[in-house]
Amino acid sequence: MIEFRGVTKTYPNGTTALKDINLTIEDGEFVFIVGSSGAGKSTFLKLIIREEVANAGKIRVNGFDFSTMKKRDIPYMRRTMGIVFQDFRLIPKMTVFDNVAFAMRVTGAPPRQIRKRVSKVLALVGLSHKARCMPGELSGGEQQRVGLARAMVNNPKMIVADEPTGNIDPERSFEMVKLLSEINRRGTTVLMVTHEMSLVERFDRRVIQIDDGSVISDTGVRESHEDE
Amino acid sequence: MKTSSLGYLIREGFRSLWTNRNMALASVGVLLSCLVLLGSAVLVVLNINQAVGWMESQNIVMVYLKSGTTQADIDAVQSKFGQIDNIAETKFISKEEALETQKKALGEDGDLFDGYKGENPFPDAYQVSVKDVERYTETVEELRGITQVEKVSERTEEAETMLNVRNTVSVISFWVIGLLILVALFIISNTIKITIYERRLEVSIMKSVGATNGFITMPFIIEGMLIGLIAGLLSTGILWYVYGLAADGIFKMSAFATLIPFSDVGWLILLCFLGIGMAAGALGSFISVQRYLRTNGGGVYNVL
Repeated sequence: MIEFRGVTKTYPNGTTALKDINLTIEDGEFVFIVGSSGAGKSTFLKLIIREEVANAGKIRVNGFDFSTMKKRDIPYMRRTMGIVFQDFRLIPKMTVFDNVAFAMRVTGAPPRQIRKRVSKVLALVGLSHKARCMPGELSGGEQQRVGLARAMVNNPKMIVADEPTGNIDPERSFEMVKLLSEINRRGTTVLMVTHEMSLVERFDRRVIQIDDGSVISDTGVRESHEDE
Repeated sequence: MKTSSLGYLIREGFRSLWTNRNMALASVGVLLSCLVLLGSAVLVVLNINQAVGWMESQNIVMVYLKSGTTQADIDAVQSKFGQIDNIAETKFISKEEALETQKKALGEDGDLFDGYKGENPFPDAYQVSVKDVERYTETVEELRGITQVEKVSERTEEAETMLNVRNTVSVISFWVIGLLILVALFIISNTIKITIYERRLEVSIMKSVGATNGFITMPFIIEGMLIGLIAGLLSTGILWYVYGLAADGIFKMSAFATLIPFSDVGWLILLCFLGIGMAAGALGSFISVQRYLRTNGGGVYNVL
């Protein structure tokens, strides 16, 4: 669950990226965060992963209260979420399998568990047959699915997708959101930041619109799939 | 830390060292120079200590008595020796004994002394061993103060020269080695900085999936320690070889001058070099990684 209460973020250069944000995202929800460039979407996301610290207000994510959380607990908080990046962020010299396994290795998972789990998530994103390929041999859509597999491999409570369709064509974008929906259907909270309204409109989901640092609308389906 | 993680981190350390081998080679070179200089200084000091120790054991001062001394004078000198605490032992050499010794030393030419026709040109003397060479001058002065003493043949200059060389080598090597260790730390730290820069994408992904700073730091520490390990092993080998050449050269110059065998101190030097090298490597890496992780470059999004 994500909870923002009166959250404001101002950068050292004086730019106020978010102003008095109040919202709650329940476990199991699928939420689109939309807004134009510079609206404050990225800052919102950086606050959730504790890359940035709010100047005012309270943030709670997956049971971690950021106002009392110690710095050394940040890695453990991040293990409750998986992040999908717009630019895929795959390590070019590692195979698809190793890119996904990397996320498990750095949390100290044993090799047998890694092999089992990586095969499972690669099957889920439909890339079992590409496990030995290098990222450069894959299309943009496939690379993003590897990124999604990596985000999911540690079985997080929540997937945070930052413009996951920004570098892929419209058809693959639609497939990517369908895949995220499937993951959400299995109980994982999905938070997708995007500026592609046409894509958002094709899915009946909760949409939070941010503009000039404020939430200007919060519409659509609010029930989580666990509640359905 | 889990065993599976440790294996992974060690493999990563080796992989990183190989990927970044050119910079690693530079670090090894600087650290190696530092260790060879350190080892050389230690060996010089050890050998001077040995030489000074030898001089201490051989430090015999010849105390010549005035001509015409009586048995009472000789006894008086002996009792005055008892008041000087830095005297280890004394041996009386009569003028007759001295003459015989010289005759024997000259061999066939010993009959040259026959020209003195019964007159002995040598004085009675005492052979005095000094306990502490550091108080050599002071002891010689005390011996000179004895009324019946004509002359004291001393070796103060040699002893002082040896001690001066040892002290100078110690002081210079302390500063030079200190400076070189700082340079080595700087170079290692920069090598690791380049490694981190090359692996910044991996570091940012590690941060995003919840790797702890300790886990992120470990492969770099291992890489630094490997640099130290290689430098330690190579520098011991180089020092061994160069020391062997020096020992041969010195033996050729003087068959009586010998250096401490390298085998006597080799293991200790190897252990010290490995310890210092690996500690310097680990510290250099630690500084570099912590600095990176503290800045924005150590974040999930801000990949420098």
